Order: sequence, then structure tokens, then C-alpha cells
Amino acid sequence: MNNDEILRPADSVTRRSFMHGAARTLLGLGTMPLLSRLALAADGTAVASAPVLGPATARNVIYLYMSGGMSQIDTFDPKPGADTQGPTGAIGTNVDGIQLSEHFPLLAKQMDKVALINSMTSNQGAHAQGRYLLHTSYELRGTIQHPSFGAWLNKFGGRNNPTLPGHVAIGGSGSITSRGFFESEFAPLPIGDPTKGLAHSQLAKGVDDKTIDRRLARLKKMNAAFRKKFNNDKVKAYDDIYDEAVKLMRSSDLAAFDISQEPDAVRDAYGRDRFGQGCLLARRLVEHDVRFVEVVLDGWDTHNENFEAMEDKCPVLDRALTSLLVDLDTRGLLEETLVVVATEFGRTPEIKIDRNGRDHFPKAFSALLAGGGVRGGMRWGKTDPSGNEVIDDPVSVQDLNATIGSALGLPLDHTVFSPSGRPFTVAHKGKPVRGIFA
Amino acid sequence: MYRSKKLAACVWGAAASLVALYAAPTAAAEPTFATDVWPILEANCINCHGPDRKDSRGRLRKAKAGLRLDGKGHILAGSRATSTVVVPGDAAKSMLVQLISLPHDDEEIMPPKGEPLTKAQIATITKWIDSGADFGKWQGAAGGKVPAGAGAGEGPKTSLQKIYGEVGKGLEPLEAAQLQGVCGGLARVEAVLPGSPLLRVSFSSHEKEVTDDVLRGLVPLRGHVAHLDLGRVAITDKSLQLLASMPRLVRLDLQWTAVSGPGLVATLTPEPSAALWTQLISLNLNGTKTNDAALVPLQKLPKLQHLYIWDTPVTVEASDALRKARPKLRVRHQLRLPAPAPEGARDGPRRRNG
Repeated sequence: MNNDEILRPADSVTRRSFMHGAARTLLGLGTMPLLSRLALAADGTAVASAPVLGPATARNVIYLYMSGGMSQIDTFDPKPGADTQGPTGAIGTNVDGIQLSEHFPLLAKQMDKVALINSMTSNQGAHAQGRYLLHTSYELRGTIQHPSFGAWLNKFGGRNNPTLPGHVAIGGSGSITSRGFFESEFAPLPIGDPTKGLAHSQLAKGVDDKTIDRRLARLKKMNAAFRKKFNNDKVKAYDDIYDEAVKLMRSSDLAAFDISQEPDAVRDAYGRDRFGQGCLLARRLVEHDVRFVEVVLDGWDTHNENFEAMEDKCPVLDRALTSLLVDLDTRGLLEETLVVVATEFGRTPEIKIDRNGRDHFPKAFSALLAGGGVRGGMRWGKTDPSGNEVIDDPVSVQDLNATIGSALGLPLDHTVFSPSGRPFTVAHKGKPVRGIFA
Repeated sequence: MYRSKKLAACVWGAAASLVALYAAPTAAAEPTFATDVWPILEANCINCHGPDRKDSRGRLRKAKAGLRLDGKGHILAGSRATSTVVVPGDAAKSMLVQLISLPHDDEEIMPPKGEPLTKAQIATITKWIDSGADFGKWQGAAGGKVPAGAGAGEGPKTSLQKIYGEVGKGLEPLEAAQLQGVCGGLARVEAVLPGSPLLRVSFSSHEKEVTDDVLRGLVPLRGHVAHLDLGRVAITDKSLQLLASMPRLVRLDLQWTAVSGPGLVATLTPEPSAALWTQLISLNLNGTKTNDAALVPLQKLPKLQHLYIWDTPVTVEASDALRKARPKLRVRHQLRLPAPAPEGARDGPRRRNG
């Protein structure tokens, strides 16, 4: 006889408990998270206190994510005259002493609105890891999913528009930005194609509001017993998704998702590509008080034929970003909207001659901030003349996130506990770059 | 026999914990700092969270994380990062309790080396904090102070903080009750900055319901409103008198409202003694019927830095004249988006010759 046999309950599996077990495993409805959290709460560990918000200069964020690792030398940190520069030329801008690559003639006229960070540095040189770190400030682990920045913002700062989601991800795969271990309401609303707007947000033919109400009421009734029995986060998450969807469907602000309401001239200016139209949608959403919108532009992983790819990719970014900045500024939105351009790492200054490409380079790369209280017309940090080393004011990925967080007034020292009782903070102890704020 | 011994131990263990369970309330009742809590801190924490000292190699060791636990003032002041190390009356919010009760394999657990605190020790500290964190006569090392605004950001003030600090100086904050249900509950009312008596008021997603009558709900708040977002709401020139009675407006957004040029002129040119909107820095009139005549009084607003008059009847001549008269005022009059890409540029990469 061993201990296991002693501990096994005397009664055998009843049909009911079998059904519970099946529901748990098949539907993924674990009761453990709730139980373990209660236990922790009794110890006084997992009870979160209310975050105290600090002074904010920005209210919303448009986060342009350059997926794949954008070459800094061919974009925001040109090294004219150096061997590492390659065929990409450099041009002057409307700010003395700041140059861009020749692929950004439009942005060059708006640099008085922009703070360039040329001293980004990361320790993650692989895409999945780098992307994860950039979005969450934590290293990718198998045991936990960390919330990405948009989720933190909505968790701490709340929504400003009660009927629209507070966190939207345009283009790119949903796995890039995530609610992590936060509640489902903090998950991003994914938009695949910005020109299609929000799919399935209209009532089906022949169904009116009354019918929907009746159906929802019936659904609630049918679910009541189940919800009582499995009163946990995952079941609540399903309910929340329904509630959110209905709220959104009935929102008077739903038109924010419809970029076909924009004049053709505006749509052309942003560029008739997915990214350009995504930036335009982002502007519409921020106009309706959506707090965090991420737009993804991929294709920056230029191991081969880097320079040809730059001629292709950079104009897309130049056009969309410039239009976004001008449009936000003219509408008065740039005062409180922080625009971020970031990438998971840079690319080697050294040109791989055999394939005319540049490889991953996390040691020194660039990012860009504008609006939301950021002082324009400035550059933060510096790389050496070859672009191989950060020689002034290094900014880690956590520091960048802390900078964004501090612009939004998020409490960087406020600890949130995961369901397993582990402590996490927004930006993972990064230090904000305060020098770039006006 | 081995197995039965283990079983017996099991039973004894259970019995012992039962005894402990019943005994606990009396044993741990009302811990006092000097006799119950301090010995735990002294034995487990002070090595790292004590006064500056030299280590065995003569190097200076400062208190880790800027946190000292060897004096009342130091404990209440907290660490470099947070003032909530001990929150009297609330153990759950106290970082000290949070960190000592982490799972034993957690990298953040305190103390980081050696044995974790026992459950009884954690319970003692928890109970002491929950019952108000009374230090009794114990003072410990002098120094440290309780920061005034817990959680307030360090570092230099932003220009916005300076402006709102100046404008709100000496102003008594309104009672919380006065901020409830403003304008029939349509208004979102918040402090412009944490702790500031000045208010930011907006009407997100209720624009069509906010009429001149509804906006009258702001009358009791008018001395405190510093940032008013009325973009797209259904107000008219009738509301301008109310807005004129808000002396601390710093940002005013009237875009896409029925506010008109004549209305602005009538409001902004009253008898000479009235000093209107002297604090106003940003005024958004995009999409309104603001006209050239309205720029004349607007030009006199002393602190105005941002004026938005895109998509209005204002002429280029008038906006140029305004720019000339007020070179530091940033006037947004036209939407100058980049010209569309030339045909064909977006179809595939441009090829370089050679």
C-alpha cells in the first residue's frame, strides 16, 4: 500500500464528476487558477492595489511596428562616407544636424515634430524573442504570457471611449500583441485588412435589435447554471467577449472603423497600401479615443538584397508616417497622441557582400517618437561613425517602453501579480528617457 | 516499519497543524513592533536594508534598492522605487508582505538568499501591518521621511506640469460629490494631472446629446475647468458665454461645433476690462464657421500657442497676417498632406540601373 492509495478518495468517479472533468479538459475551463488565486489572496500576496497614475503628457498611442528588424543605417541613422553606408544616400532635414536616409524625403520636412532615438540596444537577436521583448519588456518564457504594452495601458489607465475597444492591432498576426495574463477585456481587437473595417459588426439580415436582445437574454439564462458552477476567469472571459461584441456592434462610434468615409485625396496621401490605410484607420480610431493602436509593417528582414528592399519599403513608411504626423497635427490630435516607430532590432552595419544584405543586429538601432508631449527636432543618443556601437545614452527596449509609459502617466513601479503570484511591472524596471519631453 | 512510520508522521503532522490552527490566534494576537516584528527584520533583512557599511573588502555597501528597514522613518519612506513598502492598515498593498510571501522559487522573493521567512513570521508581520503598523515607542535609526505624494513621478517637471501648476495655484479642489453625474452623467470629469484641482472635461461617444442646455451642467465647475473637449458636440454660439466664464481654460476644443465667427467676436470683444481666456494655450476651431473677423480678438489672447482653423471660412490672407503678427503662435490652417505617389510607383520595387 502506498501513499497514493491512502489519499485516493473512497468513492469512485460518479457520472457527474466525470462530466465536470470532461468540461474542464475539453473546454479548457480549469478551476485551478481561481483556487490558487484565492489561496494566494488569503496569504495576502495576490491582491492587487490600485495603481496611482502619474502626470501624463500623452493620452493615446499609435505604435508603428516595423516587423523583421528595420535597418537603421538605411533609415534613421545614416552614416554618409562610412564603408557601412552602402549605396543608400543621406539627406538633410528641416532640423539642423539631423539627417535621414534618402528614402525619407517627406519625413525630412517634418523632423521638427520628431525625436529620433539612435541609441536603441537590445540583447535579443532572434525575431520571436526580440518582438516579444519589444512588446512586453520581458523575455520570452515558456511558462507565462506577458501582457503587451497596449494591455498595460488599458489595465492601468482605463478606456476613454466606453463603447470602443481600448486596444486595436492592425495588420500582423494577433500573436504579436497580447493581453498576456490580464483579463480578456485587455486583449487587442485584431483588424486584418484596414479597408474592410470591422468585419461582422452588422446584424445579420432579418435580425433586429429586439431579436438580438431576446436571444442574448435566453443565452444568459441558459448559461446561468453553468456560470454558477464554473465561476472562474475563463468562463467570465467568454461572457465578456459577448458583452464587448454587443457593445461594439451598437456603438455610435462604429463609423470610426470605416475608412471609406475619408476623402480620396487623404487616402491617396497615406498610400493605397495596407500599411498606409492602416495608419489612416489608426488616426480615425485615436480621434474616437481608442487608446492604443498598433499598425504593423513587415518585410524588414533584409538578409538578401537589402538595398533593393529599402527602395521598396521605406517609401511606404515615409508616406504613411508623414501623412499621419501632418494629419494629426492639423487636427490638433498630435498634442496628446504619441506616435512611436519601433522595431525588434537593427541590421548589421557590415554589408554581407555575397547576398547584398544585412543580418540581425540588436546592439545598436533606432526608434522614433513624435507628439504626446515629446520635444520635436531632437536626436537622443548616438552611434559611432560606423554604426557598430552606441557611444552615447544607450536606450534599452525596457527604457523605450518606460518612456512611453511615463508619457502616459503609467506607474512604472506599480507591481501587478500574475495568477501564479509572480510580480510584474510595466516596462520591467526600464528608466524613462525624460530628456525628450518638452 | 517504514511505511507505517511515514503514515504515523503524516497523522502527527496533521494533528500538529490542527493544534497550531487553534493555537494561532492567541499566540499571534496583537504583535508589537519592538518585541515581535523587529527581531524578524533584524535577523533577516537589515544586512542588506540597513545603514551604509563597508564590506569585508572595504567597499562601501549602500542599502539595496534605497530601502532601509532599521528606522521608523526609513520604513515608511519606502524604497527608491516605491513608497508602499509598508502601508499601515493594508498588508496586501505592502510590498514588504508581497515579497516575503512569494513562492520560494520566485526570483523576486525576499530575502533573496537563505531560508525564506516562516509562515508564522509572515503572519506576524502581516498582522502588525493590518492592525495599523504601530511602531510604539520604537524609532530606530533617524532619517527618512514619508513622501507627500506617493507614486508621484520623479525627475524634472514637464512644461505641462509647470503650466497647470501655475494656473491651479491656490485653487481649492472641488468636493468629489460635485464631480459626480455632471451634465446628466454624459461628462467625463477628471483631474488634468494627478492631485491637481484643475479639471479636464470631455464627452466621448455622447457628442450628439450634449446641447447648450446640457452644457449648463458645467456651471458649478467653471472655475476649475482647464481642459475642455467639446469636439463634435451639439452646442452653438449660445454656450460661448458659459465658456467665457471659465478663467482657467488652458485647452479648449470646439472643433466641428456650430460655433461661428460672429459668436466668437461677440464673446471675445466685451467691455475692455474683462480679461478673457488669459491662460488659454490651445484653441481648436477646426470645422467651425470661424471667419477672418474672429481672428482679430483671437490674436490678443496672450498665451495662445496653438490655433487650429483648418476647414473654416478663414482666408489665407487673414491667417498669414495672424502668423506675421504672432510669429510664435502655431496656426494650422491647411491640411498639407504629401502629394499622392506618382502612378506606378506603388507597383513593385523601383529598379536601379546597373
